[in-house]
Amino acid sequence: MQTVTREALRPGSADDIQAALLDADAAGSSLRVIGGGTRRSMMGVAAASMRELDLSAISGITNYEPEELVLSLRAGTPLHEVEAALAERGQMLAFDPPDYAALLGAGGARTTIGGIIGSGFAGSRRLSAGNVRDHLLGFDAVSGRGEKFRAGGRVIKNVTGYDLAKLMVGSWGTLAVVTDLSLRVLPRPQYEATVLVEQGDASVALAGIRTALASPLEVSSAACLADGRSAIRLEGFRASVEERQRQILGMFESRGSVRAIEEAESAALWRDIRDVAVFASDARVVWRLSLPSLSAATVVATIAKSAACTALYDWGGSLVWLAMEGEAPAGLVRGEVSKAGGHAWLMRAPVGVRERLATAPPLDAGTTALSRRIKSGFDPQNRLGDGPFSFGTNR
Amino acid sequence: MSLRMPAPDPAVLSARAEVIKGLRRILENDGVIGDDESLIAYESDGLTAYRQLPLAVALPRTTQQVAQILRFCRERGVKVVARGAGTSLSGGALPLADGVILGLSRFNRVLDIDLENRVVVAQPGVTNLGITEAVKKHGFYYAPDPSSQIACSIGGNVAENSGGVHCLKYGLTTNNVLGVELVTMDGEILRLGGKTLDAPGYDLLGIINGSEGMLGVITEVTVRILPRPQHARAALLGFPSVEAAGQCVADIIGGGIVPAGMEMMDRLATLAAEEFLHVGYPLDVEAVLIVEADGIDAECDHVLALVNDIATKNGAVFSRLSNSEDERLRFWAGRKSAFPAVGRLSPDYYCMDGTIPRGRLAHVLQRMNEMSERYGLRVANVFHAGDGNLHPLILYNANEPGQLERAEAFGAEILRLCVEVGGVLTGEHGVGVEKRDLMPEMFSEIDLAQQMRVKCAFDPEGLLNPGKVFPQLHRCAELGRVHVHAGRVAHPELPRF
Amino acid sequence: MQTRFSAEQLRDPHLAASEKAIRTCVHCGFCNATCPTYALLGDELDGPRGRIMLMKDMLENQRTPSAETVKHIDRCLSCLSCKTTCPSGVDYMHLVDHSRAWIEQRYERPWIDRMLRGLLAGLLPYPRRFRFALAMGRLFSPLVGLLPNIGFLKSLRAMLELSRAPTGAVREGIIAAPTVRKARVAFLEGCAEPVLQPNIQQAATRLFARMGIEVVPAPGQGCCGALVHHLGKEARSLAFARANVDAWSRVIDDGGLDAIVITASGCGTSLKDYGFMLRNEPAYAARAAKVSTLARDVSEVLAAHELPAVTNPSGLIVAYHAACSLQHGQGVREAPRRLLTEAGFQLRDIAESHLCCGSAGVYNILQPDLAEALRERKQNALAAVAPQVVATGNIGCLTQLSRGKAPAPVVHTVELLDWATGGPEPEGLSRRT
Repeated sequence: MQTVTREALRPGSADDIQAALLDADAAGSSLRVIGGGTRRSMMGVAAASMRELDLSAISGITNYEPEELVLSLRAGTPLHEVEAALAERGQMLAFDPPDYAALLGAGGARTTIGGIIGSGFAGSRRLSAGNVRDHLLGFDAVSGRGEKFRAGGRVIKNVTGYDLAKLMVGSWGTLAVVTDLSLRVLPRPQYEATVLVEQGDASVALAGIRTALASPLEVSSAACLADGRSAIRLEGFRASVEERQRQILGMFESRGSVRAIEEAESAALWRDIRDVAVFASDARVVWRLSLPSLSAATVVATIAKSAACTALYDWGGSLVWLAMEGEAPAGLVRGEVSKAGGHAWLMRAPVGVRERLATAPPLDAGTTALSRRIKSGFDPQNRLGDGPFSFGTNR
Repeated sequence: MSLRMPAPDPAVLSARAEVIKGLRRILENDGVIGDDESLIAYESDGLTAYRQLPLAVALPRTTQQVAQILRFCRERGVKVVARGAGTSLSGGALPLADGVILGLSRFNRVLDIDLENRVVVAQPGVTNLGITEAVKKHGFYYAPDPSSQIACSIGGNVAENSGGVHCLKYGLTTNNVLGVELVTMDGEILRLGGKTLDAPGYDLLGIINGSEGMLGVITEVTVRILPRPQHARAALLGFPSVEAAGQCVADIIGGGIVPAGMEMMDRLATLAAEEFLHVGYPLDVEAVLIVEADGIDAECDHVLALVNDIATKNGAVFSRLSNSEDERLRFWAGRKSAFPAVGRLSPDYYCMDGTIPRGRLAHVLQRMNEMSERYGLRVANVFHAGDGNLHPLILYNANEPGQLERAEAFGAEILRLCVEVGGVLTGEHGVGVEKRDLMPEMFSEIDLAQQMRVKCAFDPEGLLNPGKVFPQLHRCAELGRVHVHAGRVAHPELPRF
Repeated sequence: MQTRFSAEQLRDPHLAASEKAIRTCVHCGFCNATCPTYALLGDELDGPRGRIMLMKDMLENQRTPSAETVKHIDRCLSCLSCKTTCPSGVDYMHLVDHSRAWIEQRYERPWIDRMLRGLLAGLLPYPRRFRFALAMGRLFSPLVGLLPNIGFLKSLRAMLELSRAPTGAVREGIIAAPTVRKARVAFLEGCAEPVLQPNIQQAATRLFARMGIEVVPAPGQGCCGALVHHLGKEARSLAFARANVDAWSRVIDDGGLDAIVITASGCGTSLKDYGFMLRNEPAYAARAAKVSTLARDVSEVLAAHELPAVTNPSGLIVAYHAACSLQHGQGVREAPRRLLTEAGFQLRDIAESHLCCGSAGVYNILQPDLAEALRERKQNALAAVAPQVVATGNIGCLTQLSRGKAPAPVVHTVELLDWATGGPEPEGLSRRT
């Protein structure tokens, strides 16, 4: 094992991780799992005794079978390498992994597949193709207890034992350190187009989007941009996309000015939406709200009455990126969001604000207690820390 | 019955009258069954090879009653087995002699049809098809469609993470469930997820899906519904060999096509389904493949033209496109009835559920034929070709001594073969009791310990559906580090079945 | 499913048939999904799969059933929805018939229950007695409201309410025999239907005349026996069957018959089963089988010939209620629907069309609570399509659905077909609002 800095450990294998955990056990210290470091800021300020466990040396594709639609790889593999390998065979990760490096001010950091799995945030195509959790088929990991284990498999349909893969996605490395994983991959659509509509305010735009989503035209992504335009994306075989595009254009003609963009132009737009590029270059606090889509515009309007904010709606309105000036009124935001049956992540905030507020959405008492018991099952000594959560054993 | 279950607790058995009295009090004398003559109707689920009379059956109507029953049972150390429609093919709802069956069949209302958010909230006893029926007139449907969808309950679907014939494109239950209300063994009512597209914290909802009723009792389910495709058309293809059909499947996937459904039946399964419904399946071929495309016309036409080319290249000798919705549904109806229709060929069958990498199909089927000869039992094959999920149905006669045991051994060998070629023991039916003792084929003691730790977080006393999934019972307190040294297990004193 | 009958038990042809039915069941549970009582009660014991387990246990162990077992088998409507659903082909009908007879022979019912069943079996199959009872009932029916609506009295109440059912009168005039004879048929005249709605067979006769189908009388026939059969009174049902086989055989031997036409589909299921019921009686087996092969629901006969020209297309919105005996018992599903459409009616499909309306012979009298719940559920489903008239092919359903909150008048399918092709407007329709 080589040490990059005084603090960070850079294991090369599961055995190294096991050893690091045993060392931490002996020293009474803890480790923080890091992939490319894109989301490091969301894990809060590390305690002095905490060391980073940098997985960048556990990297590479181990088994890719395009005809089986399965890709196995190591956790530290950079996302761009994965995407390049898939593109070569006309395939993709359908959950549309986002790259938040720019948004979170981690310019230069390279998102890894482990980071994507650990944080569990999906991109715009989540609306139609499922979440990150829906694509992890199996994994190998070292638990906080230092036990090497595996779960799941390399096939899509598998109910052999509990679905621990779900538990790993979005656990921020607080239960176990995933070293190897198998993902479901899908054919890349042959063609894409996006219909752009300029119409009234967000509530009108989102109502239009809901109409499109209730139609059988297989919209793959739908967003209402910060500038008020709606974007409706269609993907698939060219003939099919063109016909659906024609029908969507017809659906919106009377609602405002419409136009369509295709292929590279469309893809570039969706890359920006997915990565929240619109808020990347400013310093505002950024919230990520998950809401029932019907409530999104109302919740944002209520918040906007008390605090100036800009919203980008993705997932047909179910995901809202909210940028706010100045202080982060967490009580207001989280209060309104939870009244509507949703939750809010504090994605970006100055260190001072981050220290005062919970990054992850707070949970009710019952779920908190249960989460704490799960945590102590895998990591009773809290060797892997709490990540962005506040239900860990030490708090 | 060669299956071993946890030894019944004599204290609970002797307190039976008291338990029944307590349940009657909670349910106000409506829906408690305590006499052996009636309990026989609950002695098994869809897997009749294993049977056991429960201590009692309780049929609550409200979440509060479920919570009271669970609290009551926990206080008395009484085990509880939740049961939906009782259609499990892995014995997930097999009763315990000292356990109460908690039946959710009276939770049969759709609570909320929310078209704007494209979700339905339903009680767990609503059937899978019932959800689609409830939203059909609005142009929506619920995508996962296990073959038993007419009868199986949505709560049971969540517990087993049920699949279906359309999950290649639309996912399994877990991919379509957004939230549940769950009652834990200590009577606490939890809500996980809701009408949002993701949920905060650890993905507890993800763990509940497929947890086989061992973590909590589901009392409400929120699912995503989808707009019904403008058109759906199916191609019915016949091949002179299973290998040719298998290659056709591989080429379709390899060609970048994800059909809405892709199912294969061998000659015997086709014969049974045809005898029941007279669909018009070709009977002179070795394998029948149903490939469905859905979406707008342009999409269906394009996909089916590609599929037809690929099928022709692979030597298809029969090809028919559905010409009406009625005909398409009939193509599927035969397939969806294939299991019970096999009841026409044989009084009993034992249904396997392994998943394999698609590419190994021909190899696995060939090995299976060898086994069939060796065990002297016929096997009919129904196969979710798109996702590699095999359903060999081993035909046997339970009235012939020794045949069940032979069928079990045959089944186990098939599943070991699935694991050997890189697949898994069960794709959608669940481990239950049926595949429980085969779990070590896939997982080490340490792997299983991680799963048990999840169980312990929810149900530390192990009262919910014990004896399922895990090949041995660990007391949670003893589940510290499970060390395995040179094949020796840390706690040899623990009961193993 | 595994069974444990001894070789000796299996020498009994009844047990052997039941064993075969049970053996065919693979316990998949599909039947529960379409069972009306399971839908209402949500208990495995009140669905076909659970009942099969109860029957299996009772028959295998030669048991005198407990009151609980009898309760759950009594609750079965014999609607045979399960038979339509069952992919394995379980012969549920004969299994439950056998079990009802078994129960009747071995289980002692409370006296009040015995009396009620005795009364029904003694009245309904006999038109004269039934007519008299109806008249008496009408006399007392104003008292219905005074009866407490509990227990046995609830059944009595249901019986008295039957006397208030809409009845049709015998119309004047003689129907001319057809000039060209395309077929020669005889009716099952039946018992309750001619008393309550003699106009149904009249409408059918008129239609047949227009179509060139000659109707000949078959003297000596009586009730089909279904009513006592479902009460488990096997000997009496067989006696009815034999008498009817004798009556029709005489006509068959004297000029032949193309069909025995049934206008009450409940009876049709029974007639079509004579061959099975009398299979072990050498003197009857062959002739009974012949009768069963000739038995046809009136809609089947009509569908097999060309309907007369539609001279009076009313365009009314019709909700067709499929009687269970027709759709499940006999598997006749499309013919009535097609005929109604051809005759110019606007046919509306109703939700849950597979569910029973709760009539089921005398079920509405013996199980008034469940019957009422099913009737309301059915009437709601009918109301949802806003029909101007409800058509059905069975007198039991017709009477049942006319009670309570009927969304529209209920008439027999042939009455509408007769009307559209030149016959008089069905009497029931004059009650249309």
